[in-house]
Amino acid sequence: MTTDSSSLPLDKSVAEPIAPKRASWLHNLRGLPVVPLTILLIVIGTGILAPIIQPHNPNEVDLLASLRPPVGFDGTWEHPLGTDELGRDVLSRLMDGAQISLLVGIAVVLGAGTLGATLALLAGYFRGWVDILISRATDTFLAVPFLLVAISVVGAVGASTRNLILVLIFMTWAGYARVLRSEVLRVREADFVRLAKVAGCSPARIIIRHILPNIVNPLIVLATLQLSAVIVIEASLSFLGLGVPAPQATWGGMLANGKAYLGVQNSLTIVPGIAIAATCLSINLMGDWLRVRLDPRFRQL
Amino acid sequence: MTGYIVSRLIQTLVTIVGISVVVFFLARLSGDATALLIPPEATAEDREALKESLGLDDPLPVQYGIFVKGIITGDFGDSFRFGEPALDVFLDRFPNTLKLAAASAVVALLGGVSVGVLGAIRAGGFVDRLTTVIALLGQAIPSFLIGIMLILFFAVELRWLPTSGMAGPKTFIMPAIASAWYSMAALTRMTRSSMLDVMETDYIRLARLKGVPERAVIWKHAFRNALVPILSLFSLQIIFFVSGSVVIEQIFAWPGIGQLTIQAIFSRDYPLVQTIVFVTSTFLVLLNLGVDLLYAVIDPRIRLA
Repeated sequence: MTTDSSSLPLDKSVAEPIAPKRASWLHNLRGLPVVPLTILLIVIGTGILAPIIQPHNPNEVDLLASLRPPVGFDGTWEHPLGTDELGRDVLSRLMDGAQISLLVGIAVVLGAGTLGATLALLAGYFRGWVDILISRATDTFLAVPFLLVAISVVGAVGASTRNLILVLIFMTWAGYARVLRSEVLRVREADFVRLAKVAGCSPARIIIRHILPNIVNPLIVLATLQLSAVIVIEASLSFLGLGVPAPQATWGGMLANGKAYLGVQNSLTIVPGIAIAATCLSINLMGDWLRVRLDPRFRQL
Repeated sequence: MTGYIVSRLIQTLVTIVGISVVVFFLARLSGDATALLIPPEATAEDREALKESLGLDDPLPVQYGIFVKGIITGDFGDSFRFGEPALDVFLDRFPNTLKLAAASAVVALLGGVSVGVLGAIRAGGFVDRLTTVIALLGQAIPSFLIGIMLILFFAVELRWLPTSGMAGPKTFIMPAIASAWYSMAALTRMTRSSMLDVMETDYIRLARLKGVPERAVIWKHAFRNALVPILSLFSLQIIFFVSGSVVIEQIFAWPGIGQLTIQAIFSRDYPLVQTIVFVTSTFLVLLNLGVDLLYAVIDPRIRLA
């Protein structure tokens, strides 16, 4: 079965070498989820451009203008999404929150993905005691109650954006290692890897040039799905006061503040709530689309 | 069978040792452990006394050995905040978390299975589309957000349910739903796909050809066979109910170990934090072991693989 699946795409590309490149590129975009992509682009755009397009300084306290409602609920365009209990502009804080969510999310996914993929490559290629060591470590990390350990580690090292990123990398690499290791095991039995070995390639070359390109697709799909998970975790930790420290605006932190004003100014929880839900939903939908596009097993569906 | 049990036991032991190492280093991560282990208002003599009693001048392996000895004898040190053995404080609160976890497990299993089965038997219909939406939302909306929204609608706006605390069956409703949220979505998805797989099989066609009533086909023939992957996913979700309690308990002021952890972290009560993390993790790892061994007994494919 393994030789079948690895030789099939090869035969196909040999059989149809003259497919027009442009058409296949457009073909790849078939079924692109437009709405989620638009939402993501807005989040990314506002996150990057936050310092330029923010209507107010996100940390500027104006107690005379506290707890203003959003536009459409007796609010004014001065503060389109209203103000919080200290009179800080919710829209500006939301943009800062987008920036932090993306920064933490992308940094953690890059770090944990790199670490997990490296360990998976080493474990899957060399087998033996390297594999045993890495696999047991993976099992340990997957077995512990994640949030409980994460908050106690953050509590011990102190809450800061850098520490948060490091702790989340430390806690999330195992998921990548587990999934990618089995992919490596599949690929290393393929004919082209055996041929490379016979041709005298060094292990490093085989791993980087021959195996890594073949596990990139599952890595990308996994990373996309992990991105929304990390954003949710960051929001949870910030909600608990153990994520990115105040006064830096985060979606989770805004929710925690807003919770005290439920029934007084509901928009303070609803607005960051919608931001988290819409962002994660969009990332997941993009991830589902990518999985169908990148995983050959789904392609004919 | 014996080989499988032995390998699972070794794996469990390695995991528990791994947890003990993480917990051991927790208090030492910031460099000066006494700064974490002692409240800031403590005197210099207290600090020195603590340093000596903890043996912080010993080499790390020796310190770790002392720590492990404490674990084995059930001595986790005294909680600074409560002034009693940390293990007692923990055991005092742990049942509350387990009660909530059990309630969430029931909600997740009943909700996920019923919606999933309904979606599968009317594949492509309205309920099925609802199933897909629920599964997607479950993954995208964090449980603490669901918790806050539940409070907003059912406690603040409608005033049907109490906002927080643990007193009587009514207070279980919202925390259990919020805590079950993620798992329910995953179970819905799994139930749907597992049922759809089974409905395609020959023995279901045969049952229908024989004239078995549709209700019996679904529940007696299809559902029983679809149950194996659903239950194995469910056993994986148990860890979420306990781990997720950290956030849920904070929202609903639930007097369990989640809330206790947060309080302990903010009051720098490290013996208590260490106890909670170590005992809870070990409990979950042993629970997983139990579930796996149970599976091996039930399903020969696992123990023979």
